[in-house]
Amino acid sequence: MLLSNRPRAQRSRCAQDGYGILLLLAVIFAMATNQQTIAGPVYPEVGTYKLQRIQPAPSGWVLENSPWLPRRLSSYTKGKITLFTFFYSTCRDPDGCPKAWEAFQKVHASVQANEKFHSKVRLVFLSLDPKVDTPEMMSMFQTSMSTPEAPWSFLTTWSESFLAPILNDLYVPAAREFDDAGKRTDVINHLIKVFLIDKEGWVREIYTTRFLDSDVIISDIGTLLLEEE
Amino acid sequence: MRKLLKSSVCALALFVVGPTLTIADETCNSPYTSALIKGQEDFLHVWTLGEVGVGDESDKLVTIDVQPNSPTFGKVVNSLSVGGRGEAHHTGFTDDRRFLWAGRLDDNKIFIFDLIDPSKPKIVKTITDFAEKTGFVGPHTFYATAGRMMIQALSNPNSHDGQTGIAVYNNAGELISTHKMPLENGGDGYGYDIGINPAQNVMLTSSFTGWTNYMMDMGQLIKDPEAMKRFGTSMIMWDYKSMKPIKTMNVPGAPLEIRWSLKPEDNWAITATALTSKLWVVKKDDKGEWQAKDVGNIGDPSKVPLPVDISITADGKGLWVNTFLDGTTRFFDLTNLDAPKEVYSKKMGSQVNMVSQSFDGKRVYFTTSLLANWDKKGADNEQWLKAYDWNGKELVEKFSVDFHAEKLGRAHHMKFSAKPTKAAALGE
Repeated sequence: MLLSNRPRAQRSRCAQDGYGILLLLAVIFAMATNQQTIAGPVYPEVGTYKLQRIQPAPSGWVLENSPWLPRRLSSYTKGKITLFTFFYSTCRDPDGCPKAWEAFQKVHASVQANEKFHSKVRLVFLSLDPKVDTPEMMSMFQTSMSTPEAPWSFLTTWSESFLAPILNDLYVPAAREFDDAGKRTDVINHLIKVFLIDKEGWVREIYTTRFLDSDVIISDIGTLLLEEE
Repeated sequence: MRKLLKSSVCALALFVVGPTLTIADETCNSPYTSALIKGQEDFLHVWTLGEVGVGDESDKLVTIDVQPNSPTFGKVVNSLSVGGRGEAHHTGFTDDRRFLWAGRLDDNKIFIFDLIDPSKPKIVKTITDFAEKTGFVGPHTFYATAGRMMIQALSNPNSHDGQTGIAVYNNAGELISTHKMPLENGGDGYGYDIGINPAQNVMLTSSFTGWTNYMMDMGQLIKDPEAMKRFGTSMIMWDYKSMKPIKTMNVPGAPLEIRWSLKPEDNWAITATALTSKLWVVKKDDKGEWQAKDVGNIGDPSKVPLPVDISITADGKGLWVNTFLDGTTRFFDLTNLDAPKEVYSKKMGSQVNMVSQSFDGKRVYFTTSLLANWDKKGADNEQWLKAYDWNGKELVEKFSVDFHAEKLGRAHHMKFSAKPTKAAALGE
């Protein structure tokens, strides 16, 4: 729901601001494109580089849609190329979950638009806040975001004790803040890491907030697909 | 061992991680290092070489309280001996800043310390098969990338010369891949430091010398003209994503530490050459090609002051440069990058090697040891940590720790840490 509302709001603002903003954006885009040519990063062509096997994807038990049917996490990290990260729905840090959302949305759109990715790539979000992010809540996100061509699973767990081993296996520190009175708050500090996992269940690339470039992710997915072929 | 690392993550409940990744704190860290120290650092960890006749004679991680409001400010609060002397040298944090990897150049052991309680680091893993697994020796630079630790080695176990490479480990301490330093297209095969500029997808490496030279007595080395030829003369620009060299630049005289400017719009790096006593800047020319440029002298090169560690300010406008043989630190104004200007210098002692500054540049720390066999002898073998405030005009000493009087050894690489704030790890 959060995400399905956002594009509408953005479109609305753009419409109100009119053509002046569109013109400005066009100029900025042209400048950015020009800058990229002169001084921007140069990434290797898809398939011309090797993504190393960094570590196995973790095991564990997760929930999708129903609190009564536990599923193995491996059923979401094997069989397809998987883009995986942690999030929680009440995350308010603009440099945290929203950046992951943005990157995943872009990747999702690319997968959706590119037929060669269909049935070969999935996206997975796993909640850091199982108390708030219930299976019912997650299923609403899933209904809104997932498509048959580009499946996007929104998972949660029964409790933090099921979540913690998965976090530890992936070396993702996550901790709930205390307020001044020493009471736990709803703020979860965590390191944003996005994991690209091959269909054998090996983590092949890790992206952090500062370096979360959807174009690079798409290129890496393409490289893994070529490797499979 | 993997389980041990993981279980230590589980077992210790109180820690804090920053939700955002902006820039590293002390300015020499990898850009992938997170969990910033946003204010005053609480502890300084000094990777210390054991020394014959000094304390337990073992290499150790020494922890010093650097919080001015603490009753133990300026005091050693912990000393963790790791056993033996293997030429302790450099350290590096993992990307989550939770673990500190520390290497030894002679016996190639790598110790992984858990800093969940930074006042009492614990060893959670020791890698003992680095040479056997990688084909390299002398694990020098520890440079975090996402979920991984990149290790630049200095030599190899066969010829013990400077032909070497880079090993990449995962955060559990398992080897992922190795990458030889290039010998083609002008490459000399030597290695020393690593600096990644993720915004440009490039990695820059520098070049020093092999095991035979860095383990040789310095007096003997400088009298051996053949040995003195065996130093690196190149810097390599790599495509970081593919780990393929894209350009070799001729930088004679052993280019050592690499510091990319941390200013977001900057895309240049600076280094100092040990033997030729020069500053070099690496940046793109008008055609978009990476070039290395000699931008000036450090002291009087004819006197061979031997530049060693450097530390760049967060705004990319200033650079500390230590010169080992004259025991002097120098501050360069980098405003004109084509002609950096030395604007301050201070004699620190008989010898000085490492320098680390806080991210705001207001606090600067210095240590003495270069290599066990290169340190000065007798009374000139001072071994200390000195902490200063920098007011933009002069260094004002706050405290010092005499590593001989404290029976610790030779003070080398420094890293900062901060006390954890109140938060509970998920699942605790």
